[in-house]
Order: sequence, then structure tokens, then C-alpha cells
Amino acid sequence: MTGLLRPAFFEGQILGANDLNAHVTYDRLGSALHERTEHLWGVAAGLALAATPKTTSNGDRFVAVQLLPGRAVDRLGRVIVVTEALDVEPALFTDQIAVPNATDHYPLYIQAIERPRSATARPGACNTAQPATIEEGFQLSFGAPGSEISILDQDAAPVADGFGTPTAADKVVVGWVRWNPALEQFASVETSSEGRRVRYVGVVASEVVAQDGRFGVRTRPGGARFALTVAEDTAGGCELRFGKQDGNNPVSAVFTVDARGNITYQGTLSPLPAAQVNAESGVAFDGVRLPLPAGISEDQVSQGKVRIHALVSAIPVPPRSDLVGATAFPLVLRCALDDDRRVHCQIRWISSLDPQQFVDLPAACTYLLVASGK
Amino acid sequence: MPSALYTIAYKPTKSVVALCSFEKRELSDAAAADQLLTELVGAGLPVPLSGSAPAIEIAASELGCDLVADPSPADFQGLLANPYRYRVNIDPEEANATTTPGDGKEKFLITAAAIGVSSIELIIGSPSSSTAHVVVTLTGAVTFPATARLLFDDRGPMVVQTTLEEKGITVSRVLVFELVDAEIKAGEEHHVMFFMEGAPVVARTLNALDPSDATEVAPRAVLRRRSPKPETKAPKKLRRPVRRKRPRKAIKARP
Repeated sequence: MTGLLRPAFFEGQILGANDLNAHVTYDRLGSALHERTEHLWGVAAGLALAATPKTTSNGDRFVAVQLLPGRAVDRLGRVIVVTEALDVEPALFTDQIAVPNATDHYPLYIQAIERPRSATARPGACNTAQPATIEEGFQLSFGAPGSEISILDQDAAPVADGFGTPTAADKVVVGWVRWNPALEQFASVETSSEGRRVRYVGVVASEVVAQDGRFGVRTRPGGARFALTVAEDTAGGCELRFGKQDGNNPVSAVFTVDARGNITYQGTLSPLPAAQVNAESGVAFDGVRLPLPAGISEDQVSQGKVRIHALVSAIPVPPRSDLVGATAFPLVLRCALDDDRRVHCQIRWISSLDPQQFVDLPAACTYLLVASGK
Repeated sequence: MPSALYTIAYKPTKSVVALCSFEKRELSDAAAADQLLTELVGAGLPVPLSGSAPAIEIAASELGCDLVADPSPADFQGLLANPYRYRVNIDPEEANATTTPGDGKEKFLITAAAIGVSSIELIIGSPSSSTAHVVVTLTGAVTFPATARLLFDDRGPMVVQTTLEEKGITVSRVLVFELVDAEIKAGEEHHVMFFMEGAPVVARTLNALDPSDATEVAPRAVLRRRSPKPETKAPKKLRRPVRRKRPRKAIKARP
């Protein structure tokens, strides 16, 4: 086993075709392995299906389909480049789909095809049938509905396969069409079928590092899109932000996390998390406002961010003999909180000799105060 | 942090008028104590004595909030049963230590039992003197001079000092708080809170009595000659003797 062989030349060397081809092969293999190991195969740019509405002489509507220019990489790391819009002929469809129907979505594939080209005759040069260039071309094909499932699921060819051996399955899905059997024309173009979408190129990386403290992930190259950004600020902080973005305008702050872990969001949490609960308990005398649990502010209560639950219970007290000239027994008149969390606890001390003789006095209670986040 | 006990005391007499326990907070100075007091009582401490409406409200400026050392279980039960029997003190042993409620220093609870209050009566004016007055009869070790205060309904505090008896040897146990400009009719219901150092706080609802029904009060002549100048000067002409006509009635009796 040897490593990759990089061609090297020396002065006076007689170069043969193999020497030059070895140079090209070295570069091609490096490019293919880069595509297969550091990226995920798929459409890199463009290659969208465009539908142009048409009408027959009878007034029936159909669409003419074009494949727009673009670039894709297949599972072997081969690059497919379409430099100009290409008409997709209905005949291509009818040649490949025997019995089409009007409801199914038929995938359209693009596949790399190499076409050797002979050298053009030049004055003074010998004519030869040997190819002097190889066109890195492509071909289009339709598949049966659902056939794209196995195509989309393919992994890139392993490094050990080198260039790999091209097969009929080395295709890239560029879209779907619906057929009008009566007109034998395309009815529409689609960008997805039953949840399956065009596969776009990706990046294989364990780390992605930004150069200037700002990093973003966007759902589209431009226009109206969604973005997830991580951006440092000049004060030494940082913010993770998700939201809509139009062009290069700032990302709307639908969801943010700052450097200290504070989360701000505009929507609702689903499912709702278990509410944070803080509690305070003790004893309190009539007239006292119950203190809020540690960490809970009056502003949070007044703004409705915290819900207060309270339980108060009068403290049992023994009879007294210093109030009505005889032993007086306690009767709890009231034990409650008002809206200001002020305790109202009163005991009526009733004479054991004359129930009509009594004294009402403030009293103490036990309390439990629970503050729960909404 | 462990729960801690805080008291709200009436500053002039250091008498406990309310209490609350909650997670311990550091009261580093008077400002912190004032902030906690505001949180606990707001502008004032309402004291309901009859029905749901507060009969008397003690202004927050008259109150001080203190962290108190944990009392013994027996004292704690007594405190919960009747906090008015206690006052705050900076020293658990020296009852006469100089103490300022709400100064941010931890306090101790001591009982205020040296002086007792045997009766409080509200007496309307007589034909010869139209001023109504509240008569407080004390028991125990009443000293001279000592200051007593009375809150009457929504009025500001009234202040009187103890006086000497006729021979100048013993201290009178009767205090008279005159209600200047108050038109009170017999049978009317009014609310009072009595404060005095060494005595428990007494809060009552009183029915105004006709002078003929009231308990005997010290002769006016004695009061006029012996009384030191009170903090809040009351008209001497209204301090008239009231003779006992019949046995004293209970503090409060409702049909």
C-alpha cells in the first residue's frame, strides 16, 4: 500500500500522456474526496425547476418545464454544472414513465455523465480517434413516484473507493413534476413530495468558528428567511438570537439568550414548565403585612408575573383572666388576609360568667405564603 | 437561612404591638429597619378592636422594627398569646437600659409586668365641666415621674405623667387623659390604647359613662398642686373630682 502519488517533473523529462493525465487525476481525486468527506452531497446552487404556464389551442392549461442553471455534487463527489436553462421535454417523461397518472409526483434527476471528445483536426497534426477532452456532462431522467427515497438516502462513497464506480443510482433529485395524461404535458412542478425535499449540500464539521465574533445560520441565502445568530457585543457579552431576517437587516428577537443565560422569548412555552415556587412561613400578628418570599419582588406580584397563595390560621391561646374580671375564653372572630397581604386576626374573649361580656382583641396567626411563577 | 422573629414596638414605651417571623434578614442599621418596617406595616399599623374596621392606627413614625433574640419556648407561647405584655430591650437583664426600637440592633424581649392596669373608663363631661376624659387606674410599682400615653380613636397620642398623692409621699395610681374638644355622649363606643413603660399595652373598646357611674378619681386640687408639667399640657380646669356612686362596672358590656 502506498499513499497518493503526486506527479513530479524534472528538467529534460520527456512527458507522456500518462504523466499529464496523472496530474489531472491527482487534482480530480483530491477535489472528489474533499466533496465526499467534508461536505454532504446534493444541490449546491440553482438547479430549480421553473414552470411556465401554457395553454393549448383548446384552452387547456399546462406548464412548460425548465431546469435552471446551477451546480450539484453527487455521492461520488462529482460536480454537475448546468450553465444555462434547459428545457425539460415532455417526450423525456413519456419515454421513461410508461403509465403516468395525474396525481403522483414524479422525481426528476440529474446525473453526471462523462462524454469523451475527440481532438479537433489541426493543420500539421495527425488525425486521431483518441479523446483529447472529456466533457463533464449530465443527463436528466424521471423516476417512478417514491423512487427518490432510496436516492436521497445514499451516503457518500467511502474514501477507499477512490473515484468510485458510477452506477445508475448516482443521481441528484432536482424536483418533482405532475403529469397531465390527457394533454401529455406537465401539469406542475413541485419542490417536495410527501415530505421529501430536494437534498442540498451540507458541511461535515465538528466545529465552526467565526472570524469576527459573529456567527449565523440562515434558512436561505437571501431575501426573507429565518436566522440563528451568535454575536458578541462590545461590552464583552454575547447573544444567541433566533428570528426572521429580511436580507441583511437585523434578525428579529423572537428568542434570545444572553451571556448570563437570561432567556427572552415572545411566544409561549409548550409544554409549560413546572412553575418555580418560593415559600415563606412563620407567625404574624394582626395588622402586619406578610413579607414576600426571598427572591420575589412587589413588582413581580403587581405585574402578575407571580401568583400568591396564602394560608393563615389563628394560633390557639389559653383562657385569660385579666380582661373581663373573670376567666375569658377565646373565640376566633376572623383570620384572613386582605388584598394587601395584611393579616386580620381577631379573637373575642368571652367571660365565663357572662357570655354577653367580652373583649375583642387583635391576635397572632401562623401563615404559609407561596409564590408561584405564572 | 433560618426563620427569625421580628417585633414592631411603640417607640415611646418600647411596647410590643405586633410581631412577625420569616426568613432572617440582616438589619444593619436604622435605615434597614425602617425599610423592613415599611414593608411590614406600610404607613401605619391598624389595630381593630371592634368589627372589621381598624379602630386605631399607629403611625409608622411611632413604631420601630427589631430583630429579637429567640425567646424560650414558654416565652414564645406567651408572646403569641399576648404580645402586649412584652417590650423590647437591648439588655436581657438590665430592664432600664437605654433602648431605641428600630435602631438596627438586635433586641431581647422582657415582660412589662411591674405596673398593672386595673381599669380604664371613658367619662363624659358634667354640667360643670364639658370635657370628657379617660381615667386609667394602675396597680403595682407606679413611679414618679413616669409618662403614660393614650391613643383615642383616630386622635394623636395624649401624654400625661404620674403624680404624687396629697401628702407627697405616695404616687397616685390614677391617670386622667382629658379629651379636649370632644363631644362624647353616654353610651357611645370609643377605642383606646394605653401605653406606659413597665405596663402592658391595653387596648379596649369603651362605652362612655356618665360621671355618676364612674369610679372615684383623685381630687383635682391635688392634681393641680402636685402634678409636674405634662409633655402635652391638658387644661387643668377639667381635672375635677368624681365621687364613686356605685360599684365599678366591667370594662365592656354589650347587650
